[in-house]
Amino acid sequence: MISRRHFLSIAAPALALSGYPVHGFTKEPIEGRIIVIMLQGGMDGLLAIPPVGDDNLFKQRKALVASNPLKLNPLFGIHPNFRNFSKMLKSNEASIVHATSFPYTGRSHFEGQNVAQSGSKLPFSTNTGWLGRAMDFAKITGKALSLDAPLLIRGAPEFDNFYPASIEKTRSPQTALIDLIKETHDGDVMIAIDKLSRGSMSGPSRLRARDPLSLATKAGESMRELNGPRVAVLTIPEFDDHSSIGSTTGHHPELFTLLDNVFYNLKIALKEQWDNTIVLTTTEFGRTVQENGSAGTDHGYGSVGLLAGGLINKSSVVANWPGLASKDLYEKRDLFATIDYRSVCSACIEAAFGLDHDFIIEKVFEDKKIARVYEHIFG
Amino acid sequence: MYKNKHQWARKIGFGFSPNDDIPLDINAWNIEQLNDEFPSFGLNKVGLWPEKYNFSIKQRFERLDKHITYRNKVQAENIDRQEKNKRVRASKKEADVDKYDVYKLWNSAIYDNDIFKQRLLHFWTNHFTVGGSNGFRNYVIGDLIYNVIYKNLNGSFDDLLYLVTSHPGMLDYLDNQTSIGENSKEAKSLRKKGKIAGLNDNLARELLELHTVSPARKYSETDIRNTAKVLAGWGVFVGDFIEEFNNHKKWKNISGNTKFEEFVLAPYVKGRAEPGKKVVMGKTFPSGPKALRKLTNMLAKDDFTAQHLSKKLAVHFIGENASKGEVKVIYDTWKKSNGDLAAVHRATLKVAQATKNKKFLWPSTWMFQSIRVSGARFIKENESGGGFGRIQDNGRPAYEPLGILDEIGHNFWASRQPDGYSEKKLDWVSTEHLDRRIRIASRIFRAGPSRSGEEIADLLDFSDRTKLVISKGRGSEEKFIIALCSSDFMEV
Amino acid sequence: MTKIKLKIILFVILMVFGTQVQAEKNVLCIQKFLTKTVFNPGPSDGAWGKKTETAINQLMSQANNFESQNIKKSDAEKICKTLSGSQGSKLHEIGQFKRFPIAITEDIGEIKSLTDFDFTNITISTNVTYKRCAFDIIHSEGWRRAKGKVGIKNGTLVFKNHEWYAGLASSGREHLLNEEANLKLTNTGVHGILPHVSYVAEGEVDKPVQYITLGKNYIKATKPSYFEEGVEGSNNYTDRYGSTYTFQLSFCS
Repeated sequence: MISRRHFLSIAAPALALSGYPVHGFTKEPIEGRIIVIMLQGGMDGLLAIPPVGDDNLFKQRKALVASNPLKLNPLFGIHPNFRNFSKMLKSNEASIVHATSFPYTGRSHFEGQNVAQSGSKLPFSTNTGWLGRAMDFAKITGKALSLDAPLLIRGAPEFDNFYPASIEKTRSPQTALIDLIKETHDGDVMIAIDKLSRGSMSGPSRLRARDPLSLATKAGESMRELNGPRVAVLTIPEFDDHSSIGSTTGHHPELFTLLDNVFYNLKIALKEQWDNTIVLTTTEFGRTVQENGSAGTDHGYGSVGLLAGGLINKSSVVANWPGLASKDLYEKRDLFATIDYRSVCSACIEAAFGLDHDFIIEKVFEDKKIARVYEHIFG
Repeated sequence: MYKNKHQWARKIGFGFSPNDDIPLDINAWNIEQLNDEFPSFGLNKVGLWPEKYNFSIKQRFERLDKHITYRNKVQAENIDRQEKNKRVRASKKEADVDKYDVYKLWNSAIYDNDIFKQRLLHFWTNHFTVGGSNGFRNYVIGDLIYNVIYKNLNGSFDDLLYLVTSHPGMLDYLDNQTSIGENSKEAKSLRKKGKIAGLNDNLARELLELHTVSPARKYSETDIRNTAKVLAGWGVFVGDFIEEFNNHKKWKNISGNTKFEEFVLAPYVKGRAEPGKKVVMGKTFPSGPKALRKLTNMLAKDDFTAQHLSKKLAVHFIGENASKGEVKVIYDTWKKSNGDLAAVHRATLKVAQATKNKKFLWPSTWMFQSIRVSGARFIKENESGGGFGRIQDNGRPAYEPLGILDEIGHNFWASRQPDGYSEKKLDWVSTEHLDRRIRIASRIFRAGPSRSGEEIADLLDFSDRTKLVISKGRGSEEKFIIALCSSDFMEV
Repeated sequence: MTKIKLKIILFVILMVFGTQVQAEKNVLCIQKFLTKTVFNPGPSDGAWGKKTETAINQLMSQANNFESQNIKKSDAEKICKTLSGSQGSKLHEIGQFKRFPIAITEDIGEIKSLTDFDFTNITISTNVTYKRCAFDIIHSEGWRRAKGKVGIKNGTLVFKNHEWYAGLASSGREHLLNEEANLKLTNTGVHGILPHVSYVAEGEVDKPVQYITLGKNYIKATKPSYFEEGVEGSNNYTDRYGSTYTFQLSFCS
C-alpha cells in the first residue's frame, strides 16, 4: 500500500480560517463535488490518449497503439475502450489534460504516489493530502472508498472511509460497545472510533461489493444525498504494466474499460448532482514513450489526466504538446510534462469549492508559481 | 523495559497462549530461537506440522506440471465443456499448495514456539514482497517464505538477498522473466521474426529502491538500466520451465546445474542474457550468471542498505518513533557483523526490550496475538491431519484463512504494491479498519477463548483506565472485545 | 511650384509612412503579447505574417469557445487595444495553454442495450413450460455469478427474482448484491480483473422481471453430479472476451 501520513500538523493553516468565510472564496461557496480516481502504478497516457496526429508516435511505438482509436481532433485520439468517456466528451461534460504530471521526475512509484497525494514537490515531506487541505479550508467532508484512509484526503476536518465488510456471521458493531472501546484510546484512533460510533459507514447492509464499479455506484449514491459527502477518493490499482501492456486489447485496455465504466457509474449514480461534480484521475507518472523489451512500458514522466462532470462546459484536450521526437523527450525517453498537474487540481478545487486560485496555490500547495488552468477546463 | 513476560512476548512475537510453557530465561529463549535449526521448537500441543504439507520447490513444480499437463489433455478432449471445467477444477484443487502455505502461516503464528522468528519471517516476507496469485506464483510464494526466507533468517543478508532476487516467484512478480538482453541471442532471433525483444527495468528498479540501498543512495537511471542488464536472462516462462528441465542436457550445458532444485532456484538462461560487462554504481560486472551474485553482494554490503534496513527493522519492532540511537544500535551491529542477520536480529531484540516506544500492531499480528493470547480455538488443531485450517463456529466451517487476511487488508498472498504493507500507524487507522477489528474480536470470542477480557487485562497489566472500561462492558463478549480492541492491546 | 510639389510629396510620404508606423506598432503589440503565450507569432518584427495571423486567430478562437475568427492585418489596432485593455490579463492567462476542441465525427455507438444481457446462444424448446425453476449462472472457473428463480413459458424465460454477484471475478470472492441494485450481466463480461457488473440506467432493463427469448432447440444437458435432483438442463454463454458462463436451470416445477 501507499505510504501515507499523519494529518494533524495542519493545525496552523486551519487556524487562519477562524474568520470563515474568508477572502479565499471567489464566489458564493457552491455545492460542488470532487471525485478523485487514483490510477495506481502509472497510467500509460500515450496508450489512453494517443496523439495520432504526431507522426513520431508511430516511429517511437511500433506495437503499442490501438489499431482503431476514436479520433477526437486532428492531433489526438482516444482508446476505443473509453466509450462512455467519449460520449461525455461529445456532450461537453468531459475534458482531457495531456503531457502533464505532478512535479516528480524520480520514477519511483512510492515517492511518486506520495507526491501525487500530498501535492508537495518533495516526497514524504508532509503529513496531509492536497485534497484534505482544500477540504479543510472549505470546511467540507469526504470519504475514501478503501479499507484505509489515503494520504490524499488526510488533513480534512472530517474525512472517513467506506469499504464494506464481508466477514460471515458478524454484524456492524453496536454504538454502545464502540463508545466503550473509544474510551480506551486517544488521538487518531479515538477520532476514527468516534466516526465509527456515529455510524458514518451507513449504507445498505447487504451491499458488500467492493470492486471499483460497485464502489463508484455507492459513492455516487451517497454523494447525491443532501448532506452526503462532497468528496470521494477511489483507487484503481495495477497500472504498472512492465510487460504485455496491450494495445487494442490487453491489460491496460481492460483497465481503460474499467475506468470508463467507473465514470459511467458515477454519472448514473450521482443523478442531478452530476451537474455539480468534477471527477478527475491522478497517476504517479506516465510511462516510457518507447516500448520496452517485454511489450510493456517502464516508469516515465508525463501522462494524461481525464476529467468529467457537469461542471465542465466545453470539452477539449488541454495540452502544450511537447512532441515525441527523441530530442523532445524528457531525458530522451519520457513524454515531457508541460502542465503541472497541480494546476488541474487547483482548477477543480476552484470549480467545486469556490476557493480563489491564488488562495489555493498559496495555502493548499504552498507554491505561488502554479499556473491557473481554470479557464481552460471550466471556462 | 518489558518486565511483564507476556507483554514482552507480544512485543517481539505473538504472545503466550494459556497452553504455552513460559520460559524462565526469556532472553536466552529468544536467542535460542534464532540459533536453532529449522524447524525450530516444533509445535506446542497440536503436534508437528504434517511433513506432507511442507512442499519443496521440486514438489511445487511437479504439482504445477501435473496440473498443466492434465489441463491441456482435458481441453483437447472432445467432451462437454462443463465436464471439462469440472475436471480441470478438480485437478487444480488437487494440485494447489498455497492453501497449505496459508494454513501454515496461521498455524505457526498461533501455535509455534519460535514466535520471534515467526515475526521476523513476517517482516522479511513483507520486505521482499511477492504477491498476486497468478496461477504460477501461488505455487511458489510459500517456497519463498518457508524454504528461502525462514531458512536464512540466521544467515548473512547477502545470501538472503541473492536467493530472493533469483527466486522464481520474485523473477515472475517483477516481470524479469520477460526481460531479455538487447544483444542476446534470443533477442536477435526474435527481432528477425519481427518481434520486440529487450529489457524491462521493473525488478532492477525495486532491487535498488526497495530491497537494498533506497533512493537515498542517489543512483542514476543508467545504474538501473545496467542492473536490468545484469538481471537479464534470469527467470524462465513457466511453460518453458518444465520443458527446459526435461531437456536436461541442454540445461546442464547452459548452467552447469544438475539438480532440479538448483535449476529452478537459479533459473538463468544464457541465450537471454545481455553479453558484455556492465557498470553499476561505479563497479564493473562481468557477463554470465555469476554477475548477479556479485551485484547482490555489492548491494548487500552497501552502507545505504545497512541504514535502510536497520531503520526498517527498528520501525517494525519498536515503532515509528524509534529513536536515532535505537536505529544506530542495529546499524552498528549490521556494519560490524557485515550484515550477519543473526547478529542484527539479536541487536533488534536488545533495543526492543529496552525501548519505551510502542508499535501499533499490524492487523495480522494483532489478530494472531488475539487468538493466541486468548486461547481461542480459532483454527482447528491439525493433529487429525487435513481437517485443519477453517475457522470453527459452532462446529460449522465458515471462512478460509486467506479470506480473513483479505478482510483485514493484510494478506501476504494478495496482489499489492512491491513496497509491501506500511509500518505507519495512520495507514491502519480508519473507521473500516477498526470495524474489522471489532468484528474479528467478536468472531474470536465465539470460537471459545479460554481467557476472558478481564483475565487478559490482568495478565498484560493493562492501564486502570482500560480495566475500568472493560468492567463497564455488558456481558463477557463485550468485555472480551473491549480488551482486544483497547489501545493497550493494539499497541505494544 | 516645385516647393509646393515637394511639400505635397513630402506630405504624402509622411502620411503613408505615418500610417505604416502606426500599423507596425499595433502588429508589434500583438506579437509581443503573443510571445508571452504558447501561440507563436514568429519573430517580433512588426510585420503581419502568416504566423502572426494564425497565432492571434487561434488565441482569440480559444478565448471565444472555439468560434472561428477571421482577424486580419486591418484589425490589428482593435486587437491591440483589446490586448492592452481590461481583458488583457485574462487573454494572457488563456494563452498559457492550448486547447484542442473535440470534433468527434465517428459514431460511438450504443454502449448499453438490452442485448447486453445476451443469452441468445442458449436454446430452448418452444414447448417447454415450467412455472418455476431455479437458475444459476456460473463462470467457467466455478464462481457463481447469479442465482434466482425463473419461469419458462413456451421456451421464453421470465426472470422472477434474482441476485447477482459482484466483485472481482478473478479472485472468485462472492460479494452479494441485493436484487434492487440494478445489476446486469453485460457482454463486456468477466475477464482478467474486470468485474462483470455494471449499473443499469433507468429504463434500460425491466426490473425486477426480465424477459429473455431463447432459441428453438433446447438441448437437455447431462445431469451434473453435484446437483442432487431435478436438474433440467444447462447451456453456455460466452462473452466477447471468451469467458464462458454456464446458465443452469434446476428444480423446475
